[in-house]
Amino acid sequence: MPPTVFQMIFPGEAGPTDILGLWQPLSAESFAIEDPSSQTVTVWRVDLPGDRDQALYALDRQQTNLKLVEQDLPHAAQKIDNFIQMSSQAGQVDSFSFALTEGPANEPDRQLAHWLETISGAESFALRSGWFPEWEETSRKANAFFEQVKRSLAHYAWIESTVGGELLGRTSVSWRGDFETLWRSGLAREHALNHERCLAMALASRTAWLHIAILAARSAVQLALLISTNPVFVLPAALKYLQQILEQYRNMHENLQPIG
Amino acid sequence: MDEEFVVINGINGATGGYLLPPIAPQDLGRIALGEKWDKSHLEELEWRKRQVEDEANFALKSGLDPQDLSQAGWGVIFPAQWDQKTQMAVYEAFSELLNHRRSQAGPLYKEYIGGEGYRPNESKNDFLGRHGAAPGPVDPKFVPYYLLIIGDPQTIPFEFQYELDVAYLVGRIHFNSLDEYAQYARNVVMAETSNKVKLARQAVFFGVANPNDRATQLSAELLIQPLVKQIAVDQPTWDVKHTLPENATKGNLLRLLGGDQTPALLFTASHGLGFPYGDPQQSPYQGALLCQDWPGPSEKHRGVTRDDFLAAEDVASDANLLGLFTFHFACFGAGTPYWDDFAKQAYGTRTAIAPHAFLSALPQRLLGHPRGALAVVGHIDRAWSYSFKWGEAGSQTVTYQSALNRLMTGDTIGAAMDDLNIRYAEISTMLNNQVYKAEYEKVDLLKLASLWTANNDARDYALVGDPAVRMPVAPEDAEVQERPVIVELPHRETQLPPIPTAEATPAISSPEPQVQTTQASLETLSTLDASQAEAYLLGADTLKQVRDSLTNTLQTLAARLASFVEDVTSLEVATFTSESIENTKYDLTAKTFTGGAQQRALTHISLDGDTKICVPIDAGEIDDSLWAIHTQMVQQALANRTAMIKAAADVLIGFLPK
Repeated sequence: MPPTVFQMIFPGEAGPTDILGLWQPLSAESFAIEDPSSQTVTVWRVDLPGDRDQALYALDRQQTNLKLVEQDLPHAAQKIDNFIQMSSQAGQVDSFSFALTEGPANEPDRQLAHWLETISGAESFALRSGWFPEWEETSRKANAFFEQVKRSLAHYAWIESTVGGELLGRTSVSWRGDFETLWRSGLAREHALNHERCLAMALASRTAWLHIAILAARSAVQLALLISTNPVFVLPAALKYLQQILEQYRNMHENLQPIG
Repeated sequence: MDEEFVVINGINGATGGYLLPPIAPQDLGRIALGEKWDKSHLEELEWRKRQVEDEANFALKSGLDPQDLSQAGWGVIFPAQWDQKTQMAVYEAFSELLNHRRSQAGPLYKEYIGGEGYRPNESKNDFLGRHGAAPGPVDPKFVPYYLLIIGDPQTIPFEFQYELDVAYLVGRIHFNSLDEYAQYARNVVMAETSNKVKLARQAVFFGVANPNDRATQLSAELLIQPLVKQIAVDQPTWDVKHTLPENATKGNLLRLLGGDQTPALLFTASHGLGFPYGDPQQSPYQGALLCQDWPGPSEKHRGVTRDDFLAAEDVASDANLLGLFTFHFACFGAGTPYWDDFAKQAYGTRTAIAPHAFLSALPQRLLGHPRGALAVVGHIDRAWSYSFKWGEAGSQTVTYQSALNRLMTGDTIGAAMDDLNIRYAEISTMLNNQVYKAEYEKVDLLKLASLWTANNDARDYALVGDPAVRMPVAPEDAEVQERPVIVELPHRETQLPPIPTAEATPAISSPEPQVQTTQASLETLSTLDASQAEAYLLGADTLKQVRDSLTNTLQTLAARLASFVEDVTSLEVATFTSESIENTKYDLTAKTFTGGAQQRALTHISLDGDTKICVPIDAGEIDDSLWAIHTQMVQQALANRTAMIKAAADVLIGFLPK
């Protein structure tokens, strides 16, 4: 029995990522789209197992994980707001990292503080030189993410689902939100529901991306004002911070299994 | 209350005498006449009393379940006064519990840290107002119902805690090391999430009655004995044990606090030790529990020896207290305030008890232990055994009984403690009425004294620990498990600062933290002044590329979202079917599927509400099955549209000043 696959495909682009950790990213080379107009499309594809129970389990699990991300987002926002509050309270950027003890929970704060120190010139020239590769890498990732978000909004999304290798349906969603869905003739209601759930999860994931992008941009503006710099220089670090916090929460959800 | 002199609990550890001289009830009544209340606090107490009379037991907004954190909310309050390093170090050490509560409370989880934390000299109303909440029913959307204060009581005063827990469920922790914060967090999470902590349903009532000592004889007779009898009846599935005075020795108490007899619930009634201001024994021993080993006040020349009382240092490193809840009816059982409230009231002089307010070492040790307890309930300041002797507002014993019953049947400790808060509200209101009445007519001084002692007793209880914890006992008839041994966590090096002395505590509220806000929009991202670092970074081509690309992307994204609401004037949902779905293609321009696909249904909704629909027909009849699928897709499209509009609005709101 093949495992369930939740994929997102960006034709014409190398190295896409899913900041939510829910979709397996693929570049264009891995997926052939025949439609010539598909160069700008974002494809969300779900391959469900033929076994009914396994298919439902996979959908339930993905839906639960997505809900957890949606719940975690306001907390991540609060975390970065806390960071901004405390940083502005201290008034001195070079006290950021000294204020942070070692430990996994503080690691995102330490890295963000270090980034701000370096940008603001509080770090020595030598240290900054060594920091360039990190800056470049983080910035490229941030750029790729914002490009993904932009594309997913500017063009249409394509959602298709299969069960046991058989195509159930395809839905095109324009950036304005219009839906066109093609169904296999005579499709059972139960299978149609599965496709509808896949569609809902793809769109909710896209909305979550958008929220993260907005949150990162807003935080970058506030952080940049603390050290009088261009927010674009802070944006990659703000995004990385949020990504790390969401990862921490994800790990926590996996480790904590409340017994009621 | 009879005519005998009132002996107030508490033994001076340095001399063996009483902390306060015995006092005639009439004199106590006169002292009570000087009682003053803060107007807003009194109003809230009166509201709480009325609320209980209306049978709304909890202050939580009606319709919400106080036992469910996803409805009641949970928040943590740090002192804004702590430096960043301390806040972040404690936050990190405590993060296991914070993450756990976050997962339980969801959107109603709040962290008050940094500038959002408690600010020096802030009142409860100041704090709540700053976070959007008002006195009265608790709406957890603004401030959660469960609140855990982190920090010493000099930095976040006990008064703030008293005022807050009239309506909220409040606990506090403060430790001297990061290891203890981490350990307490681990112990709570383990007790709530692991199947390994399933304690026997056993409660022990430990009542000391020292020879010739009226205070402990009263607590043994009027508190411990009735409680044992009633709880045994109320909780038939529990094994309720009574440690009689002759067995209430230090050695036996040690067996109950981490030793081989440790129950799930322990209730002790004894003297707590007090020491003079500045005495080197004050920090380690204040609030330590004086056991039956002390021969009583008659042997004053003997004083108090180290073998007579159980202090923090007596709890062995290999003790296992995991899951324990313990109540200590004893002076300073939970902590010590800075000012002596009694002396101020009685003698008109404001004297300090200690260089700073502090939590007692014993509860700190019990909770911060590697296999520590989950909650300690005890007195701040002095305990008043005489409060059991009067009856107008009901016996204090009934209040304890109610709190213990709640706890033993699965309520959180915060909810269980709410009965004590309600009692405080009731008695305070009655006492205030008596004091007011005394301005115009003669009042019964004995009755006044009774009310006053009961008021102090009810007010000064405090919870040390997280108010959301509950007892990890095995269900009835289920298998009981031995307390597990938890692996000690790795040591954290960072030292926490000492508690500031009262003189060092800011006398006036700190100014608002200078949080910079911005009215910048996304478009300004690329137009703000660049720093020196920016100029330097621009020297590298690749970095410039990234910056330009990011700027461009952000501008496009912002423009897209800004135009979204304007451009979207209709919503269209179309449904197609095909016998050979694999062979179809999508025509982006015509917005249709080609290659054998057949359009079967269409819904077009205009912004003005005008809706056009085409329904699928099969053999002259409406194809109900396909129509149901189509209708579902319309619902999804509408939900998606709403989410997008909300996201566009968030862009605007997100960049407005907070």
